[in-house]
Amino acid sequence: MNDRLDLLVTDWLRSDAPAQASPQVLADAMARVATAGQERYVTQRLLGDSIGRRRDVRLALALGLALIALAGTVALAGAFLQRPLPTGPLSNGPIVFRANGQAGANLTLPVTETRSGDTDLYAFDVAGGIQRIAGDDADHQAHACPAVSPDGRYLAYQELDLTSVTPTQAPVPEGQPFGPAPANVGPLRYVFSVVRLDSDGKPIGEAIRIPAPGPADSIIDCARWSPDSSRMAIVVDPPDGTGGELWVASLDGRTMLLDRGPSVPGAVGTVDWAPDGRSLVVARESEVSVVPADGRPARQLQPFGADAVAWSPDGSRIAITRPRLLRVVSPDGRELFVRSASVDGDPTVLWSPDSRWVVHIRDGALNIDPADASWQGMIDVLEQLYPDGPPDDASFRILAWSPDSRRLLLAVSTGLLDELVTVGVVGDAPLFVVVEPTQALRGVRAGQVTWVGVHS
Amino acid sequence: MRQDLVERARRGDREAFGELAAGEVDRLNAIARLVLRDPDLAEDAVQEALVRCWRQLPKLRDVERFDGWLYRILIHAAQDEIRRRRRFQVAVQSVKREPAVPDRSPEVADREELERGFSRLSVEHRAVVVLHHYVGLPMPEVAAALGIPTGTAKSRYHYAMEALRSALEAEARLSAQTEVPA
Repeated sequence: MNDRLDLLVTDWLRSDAPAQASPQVLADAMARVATAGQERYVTQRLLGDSIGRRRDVRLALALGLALIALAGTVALAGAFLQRPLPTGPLSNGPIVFRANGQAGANLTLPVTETRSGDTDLYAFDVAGGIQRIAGDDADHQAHACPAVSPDGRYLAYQELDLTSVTPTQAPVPEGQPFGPAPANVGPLRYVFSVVRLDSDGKPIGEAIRIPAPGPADSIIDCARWSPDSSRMAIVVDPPDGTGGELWVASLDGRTMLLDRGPSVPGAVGTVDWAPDGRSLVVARESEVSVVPADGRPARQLQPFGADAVAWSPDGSRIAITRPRLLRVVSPDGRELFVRSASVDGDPTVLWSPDSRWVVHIRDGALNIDPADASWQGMIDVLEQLYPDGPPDDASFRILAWSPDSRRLLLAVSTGLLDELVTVGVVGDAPLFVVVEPTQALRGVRAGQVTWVGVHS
Repeated sequence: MRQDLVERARRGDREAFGELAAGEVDRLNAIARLVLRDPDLAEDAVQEALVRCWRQLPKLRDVERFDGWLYRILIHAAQDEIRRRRRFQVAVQSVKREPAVPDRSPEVADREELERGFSRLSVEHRAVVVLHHYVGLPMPEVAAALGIPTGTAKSRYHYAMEALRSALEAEARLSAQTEVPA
């Protein structure tokens, strides 16, 4: 029996072993190696390879260092104990929180108006109430990219600058249903409209209009508010293919070009503010950099590109995704932990406002990692929503954390229809997860959604 | 040639390490897959092992022991991957339904029982079996690769093989009971 079992086990293992690893495993490992230093004995660095590797030399140095450390510890301990906790804002980008500390309950999103055929901005509350914030039945103007300032006082959105468009009357030749294609409509420019919101989240007065920076006919990304709600970061992709430009615009209309370089084609979430508002992390095609907001030169964080970046609200970590890889690094570029990410699909990575968790999608499932990487959570959202098996075309995207870090908003798509669902977090760790469709929002096509907070 | 690559990588030559890693990645992946029984976890473990290997190479004293040293790094990375997943899996583990009446040839049945028995073993026990039976290391080298005494390695090996034998015997008893006489 022994011999038979040995043979059986050997045969089974050999036939079960895969012949080749995915080439991406080596590529990802080497990308990480490119940023990783080698661990060496301190003595090896000081005294060279042969002497520095000797055990007695290392011991002697360790003893000396221990004595110095002991003396310094007493002095340093006092200083560290008095160091204040980071007091950065609890939210970043589009997520806002109530000044009274409660979670925001409303969402805003663009919805295609059936009468005018354009997208207008609506505010939805989870109980079912809706209210149009921007646009009307006949304006033929698309309003997109709603972004609420972290203090809840402003809503910025994007619209086409119609003053730059010269409409042409195209005569219809006799016998043909349509005329020639419109020509010479002039260069297209976008404008960011910023409206003030009252304490209930309703717009007040006229919108501030800030022309989008960069050349005409550029592709303009959604605005990212600075944590102090005074500026917006805007990524502009000029039509000449010279690469993405990172601009910062203030509410008085002033704009400043901070950085330029090859952008990630078609990517979203390529920029995020540091919670202190002094710099931004920017993902480009072949690198990730930290760019100071005052115009000083950028500092490279990693020498390979990424699809999305997110700075944790407490400022201590930066999450970076590229195909098949989620890296979490410190602001000085030191790798803290790494996870496999999605092969394709949504590269979004989002920190919870309390910086405890970071979420990303891997192989069609929602992954939740605590900031200390002590464990990994994975939720098969589609399996929970469709116990009998999800439709073939079902997928989901990560939209936003609620301000209290207790709910995560997802858009589940089947064909052309989106359904908004929230993943609830119960307890101190998300050991038990409830997926509940948000009934009031069923059937809404959710392109860009943010939580709207109400300030006092 | 390979020792030369290890030596150059140890001194910080990334290109040499790239060549070395390219030559090792398939073997590491196979071992990780066998030990972890999960392709995603295995790929994570291999990636992590290669990065740790690069970081810790300057501390490798004897270049000739590179293989065993690398196995140890891989098994530690695999253990870390399992540890990270374990807490969550307890909370949402789904129940797989097995068919009520299995229709399998004896070979297939044996393999399924081996798979089932193997999955119940800890990573430490699986690693001993894989290094011995798949990689072909004698038990003292298995012990050296895992950084444990030879006696411990032998004890883990016997425990693991006993568990596999029990799984196979249980399957044989079940088959005998369900066989319909002609």
